[in-house]
Amino acid sequence: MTGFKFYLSDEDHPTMRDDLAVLLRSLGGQQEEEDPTQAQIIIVHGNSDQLEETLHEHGIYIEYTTAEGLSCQPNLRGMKKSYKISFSLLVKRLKRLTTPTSIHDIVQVITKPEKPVTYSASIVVLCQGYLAVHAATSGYASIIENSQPPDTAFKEALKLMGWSEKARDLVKNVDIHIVQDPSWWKSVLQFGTYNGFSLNVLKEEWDFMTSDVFPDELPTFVAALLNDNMITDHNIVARVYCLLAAKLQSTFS
Amino acid sequence: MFEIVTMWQKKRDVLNHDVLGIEYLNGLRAFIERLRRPDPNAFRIAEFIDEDFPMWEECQKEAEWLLNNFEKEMSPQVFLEYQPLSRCDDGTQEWLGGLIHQLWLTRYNPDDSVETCRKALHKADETYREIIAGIPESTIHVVPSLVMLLDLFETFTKACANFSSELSKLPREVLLA
Repeated sequence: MTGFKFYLSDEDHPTMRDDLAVLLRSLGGQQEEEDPTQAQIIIVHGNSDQLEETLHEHGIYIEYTTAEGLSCQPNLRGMKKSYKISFSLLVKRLKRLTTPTSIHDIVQVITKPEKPVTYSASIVVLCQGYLAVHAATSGYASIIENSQPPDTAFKEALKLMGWSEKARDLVKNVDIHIVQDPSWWKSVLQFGTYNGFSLNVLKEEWDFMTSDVFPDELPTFVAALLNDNMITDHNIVARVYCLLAAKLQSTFS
Repeated sequence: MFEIVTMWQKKRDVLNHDVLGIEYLNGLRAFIERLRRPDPNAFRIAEFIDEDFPMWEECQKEAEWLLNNFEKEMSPQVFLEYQPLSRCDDGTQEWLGGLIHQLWLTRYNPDDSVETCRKALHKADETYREIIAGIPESTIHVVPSLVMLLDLFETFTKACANFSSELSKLPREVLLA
């Protein structure tokens, strides 16, 4: 069932309250200005009067805080269907919904555990590990002392990630076969599981970061993992790293 | 892109935005304005010196914590504590964590920015101590002595603002690449 009535209360932060009202109305909600007992969703700021007593039998109660980063905490003060969440996260999650929205959709979207580190970032970390072990195994102490390796992508990746002798010392005893084994990557990425990794997920993350065309190297690399091929081509890993790292960098700059 | 908000980020926001930015610096500026008036309100002046001005001591401690813990808290090594990277086996966690921390140190050399902040903090704290040494023990009839310290209060305000500005230049995100 879609459509809902909501009641908002936040005397201290009228702008936040009004922004939230606009967002909820854009999701098909109808604002109840006077009587909270008429609303199926009551949303209040933590400093406002607590209105849970007035909650509708089939309604939900959301209390937000201006503190950053509070993920959704259910059963506020022991009450069922009540949630506490940071304002920024609440807005971020609600923006993922499309019209028409039901109360059920709202509960789902705010309570869904978030994967805090994206797959793109995770692949970047794993690539750093792989490339470092490969460089150490191949004897590249530093890109400065040695004009090798000749492979441009690999050299560029080492430079971009901050390769140094100190880094080499940390991985010199790691067996290269560990990082070449697709299971090393797949244990983190978990293809095919709920909330797990897939090429589509990677493409979604890419599109979120940039309007550039999704590069061919990424499907090639994902296919190699899916097919359980040993990852022996360090240049492919280097290119994947450079592509994703550049986009992550520009997302933050 | 990431929903990780570290303790360091939260503490920096509170200190820089709420405490230093809104409360302390505004209070200090208002105090200086008041002190410049021909007939300043002695009660308000004494109240600020007794209650608000010493809040710097807390700010200074919090700032020290932020500077001492920046490297540990804001290194991308923290990503390994979260899914999906937390699924790495123990052996990988150990070497990969150390590695990405070292690579980050090489790329960003955070010591330089932290050192700049530390110098700015030291300058502010030094001026604060100088002011404290110049304030008479009893704050009754203290206004004339404080007027003599006006230049130092202004130097301190600038030093606090400078520290706040340097602190805000430290990365807002855990940087991975």
